[in-house]
Amino acid sequence: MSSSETKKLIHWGWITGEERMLRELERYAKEGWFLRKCTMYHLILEKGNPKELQYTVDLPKIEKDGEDEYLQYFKETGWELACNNNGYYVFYAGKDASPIHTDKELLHQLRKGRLKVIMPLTILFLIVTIGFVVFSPMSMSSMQEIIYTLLAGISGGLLGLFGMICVTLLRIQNHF
Amino acid sequence: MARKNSFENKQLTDTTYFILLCLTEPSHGYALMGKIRDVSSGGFIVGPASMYTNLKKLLDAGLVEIIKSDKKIYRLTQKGAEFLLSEYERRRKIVQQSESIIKRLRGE
Repeated sequence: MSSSETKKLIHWGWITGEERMLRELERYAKEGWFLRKCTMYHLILEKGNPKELQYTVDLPKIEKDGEDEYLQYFKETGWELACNNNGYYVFYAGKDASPIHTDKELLHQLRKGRLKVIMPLTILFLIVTIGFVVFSPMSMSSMQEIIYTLLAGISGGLLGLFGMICVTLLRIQNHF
Repeated sequence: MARKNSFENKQLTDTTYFILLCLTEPSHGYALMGKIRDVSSGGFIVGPASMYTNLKKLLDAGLVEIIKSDKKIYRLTQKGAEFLLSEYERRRKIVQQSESIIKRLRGE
């Protein structure tokens, strides 16, 4: 496959922008670009004939020997695996395929479970970041200052990331 | 564990009710989605992600079991049958108790 027939999209993980990215992939499929591979931060699309498709993503809890069975359920209902990475499975199907999640109560429980993990991390990094700001030493050598700023930046960055995930999950929860 | 506790009150969701109902005859997990659609005359659809996760939950709670592991055939356990009957009775009672009010509402 020559490089002119592929396209690379940057993405920041499914949990923060799931819906937006899925609709984007559907728009690309209409233009003849199809998702074939995903890495941690990139989605690789390949050129083909334009099609009306729908995309969906799932984060299942599957054991190693359970993957075949899991994928068989999707095949049976017209969903094909586009790619999987880091526990996320992205599927595509024709416009008439039924949704993969039909049990809203269960989906609510799963998202609540994820929130239970992310929320304490957000609070932890909020405290750490505030600590860096409040307890900043009055005098530091230039090297200490660089290390201090770097650590504070990492803590603030992680706070931003976990905070964004929390807000996304809370926003989705409120749809039910 | 949360997954086991979700069946503690002996109540089933619509999805788990239909899964247990269709597992009174042993079946592959993936074939269950079609069976449920047929039993409900197309009125109730279970998506693949919901089917997979619910079956795992039912398995963890001991309401279903695997009787053939290579191509995973599931069937109802004795405990699952008890849950199904109890849920059927609960839903039947709700309909029975509301019948006179519904009839009045319909003007019958």
